[in-house]
Amino acid sequence: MMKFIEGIKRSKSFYSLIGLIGLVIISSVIAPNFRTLNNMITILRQTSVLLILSSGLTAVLLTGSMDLSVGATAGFIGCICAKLIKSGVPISVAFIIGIAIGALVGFINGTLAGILPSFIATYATNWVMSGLAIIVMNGAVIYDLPKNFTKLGVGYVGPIPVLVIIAAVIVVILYVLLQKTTYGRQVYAYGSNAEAAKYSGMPIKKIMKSTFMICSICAGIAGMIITARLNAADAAMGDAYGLQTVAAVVIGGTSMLGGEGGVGGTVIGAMILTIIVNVMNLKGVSSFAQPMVVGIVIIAMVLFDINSKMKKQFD
Amino acid sequence: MNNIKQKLKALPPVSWMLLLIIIVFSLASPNYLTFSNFHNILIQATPLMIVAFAQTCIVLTQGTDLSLGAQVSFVTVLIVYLAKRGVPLFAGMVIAVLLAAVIGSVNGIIVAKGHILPFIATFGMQNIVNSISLLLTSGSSIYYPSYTYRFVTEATFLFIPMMVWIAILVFIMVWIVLKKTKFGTNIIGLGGNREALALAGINPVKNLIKTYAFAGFIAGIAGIVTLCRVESGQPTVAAGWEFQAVAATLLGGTSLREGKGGVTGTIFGVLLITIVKNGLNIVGVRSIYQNAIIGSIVLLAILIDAVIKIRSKE
Repeated sequence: MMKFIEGIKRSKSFYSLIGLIGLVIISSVIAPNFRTLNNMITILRQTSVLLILSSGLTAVLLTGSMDLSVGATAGFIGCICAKLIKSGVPISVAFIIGIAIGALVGFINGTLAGILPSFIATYATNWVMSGLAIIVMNGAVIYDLPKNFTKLGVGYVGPIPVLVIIAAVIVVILYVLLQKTTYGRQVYAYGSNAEAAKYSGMPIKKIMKSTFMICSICAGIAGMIITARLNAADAAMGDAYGLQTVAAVVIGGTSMLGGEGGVGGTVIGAMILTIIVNVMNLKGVSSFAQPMVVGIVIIAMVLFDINSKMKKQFD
Repeated sequence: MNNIKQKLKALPPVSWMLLLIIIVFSLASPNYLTFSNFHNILIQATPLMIVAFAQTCIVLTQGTDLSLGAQVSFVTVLIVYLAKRGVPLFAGMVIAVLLAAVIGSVNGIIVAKGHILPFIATFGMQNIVNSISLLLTSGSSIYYPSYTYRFVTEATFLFIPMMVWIAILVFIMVWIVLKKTKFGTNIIGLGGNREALALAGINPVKNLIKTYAFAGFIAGIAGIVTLCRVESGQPTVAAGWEFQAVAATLLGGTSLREGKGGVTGTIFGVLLITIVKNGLNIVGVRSIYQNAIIGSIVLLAILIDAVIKIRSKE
């Protein structure tokens, strides 16, 4: 039993989990309407999109790289799908096209990240993607999408929102992929020591590219779900997610330096972030203040991460 | 003859790209190669140029400051905000520039003492500063009329507008700091070999904090120039400049990996970005296409530059 507790304590997400529990307690005290069942379901719905994005980004961070383009990629693919569906393309076909574009964007990001520092390369693709989204939309907004499509964002299966189910499925797939397969172990190995991974004969370039592809495919799916939720597409709709996605992964305990953390922690991180924003909304805090809180939380979490790592080195 | 060849080879690749782009645009539009357009390009380039000088200092330490754009916007907002509450414009400018230097030093403290990767620390700071600007303005532009703006953008001295003179002065200041002072040697040392620096008895933490504060100070000056150009406090006016400044710095030959390069090359990088923007307007490309085209050209240019460097090393 002690061993089990020790094991939990040693895992990186332990502190994030304690943070989440503390946050829930504080939130229910300061905001009475936080405790309602309705609000809980709202939080789950709000988390879903962020969860899809940040689970994908977790794979990239585990290799020690960074993808700053997820927000714009989500927006771009959401716009394309909206346009396709509006012009009569079947929903399933649009969905497949969206995923294919995601894979292509990820492939480009991964290739660029092999030449340039990944955060510079993806900051640039972020720029290009948001530009492409403007071109696709031609400066307008698309709305009134078919019911079958918007169901993805607002529908229910029994009492559970459809998008919560989609998010859960994606999280489970990525969890299994990263924790239980040889591929996952390679991702971790590459992230903790790229040189060693290279000399042990792993296809490191392929591993890196594939994590970027996973990330952008998730961004694509998230983009389509954002569109379905809004029942509209707008070129800038993904922009707000860029920072939050990075924050969710980092808060969940995945190290910026690679090789440590995982999708489990990211789920906690996404919940923490969503609850913070949710409580700020309930309390009527100006939405302009939200980036500040998120920015402070990111810096604080990274500081904490690095400090605990350095302490470990001294032990 | 050989001498000239060698000198031409020593130019950063960006200067060739610059030449190529100018030729393409002049062929595409007869209005391109005119004195008044050249004048326009200089004015358009100035604010970004100053930000890029700041970014160059940071990149030399192997970092990037993604909060510089937010700082520029913040300075425009703060000066107007203070002016509306009775603080004289000039006093507001001084306060705003000093505050930008403070923001920079906070960046430096987080990066140097917290051992955080610079881009994530300054990415967080970018959002914090943006938030403050948005809160001060409730998300829209704020105005305060003054003749000072026109003086900076339109008055000329030796046929060169005042704002360009400001950029020239900042350039000279940064150049002197980097080449002639101990602090500058330390900045370059921070990017080259930190252990050697520490062995030489120089405190890397202190110097890193100073570098970020210096960059913030310069971004503050860029904020004043930007305010004069847009004649209002705009919370998002400089969004994305931090990245254009990184791009310009890399294009100018400053390396992210080994503390090599300098502020002179950065000028070419900024001109490349500005000339592309200006050219697209003159040739008459619709505005909705411009973001994607500029982004792609900048990405392509950084990429070509990186590939050339990798090749020349092999």
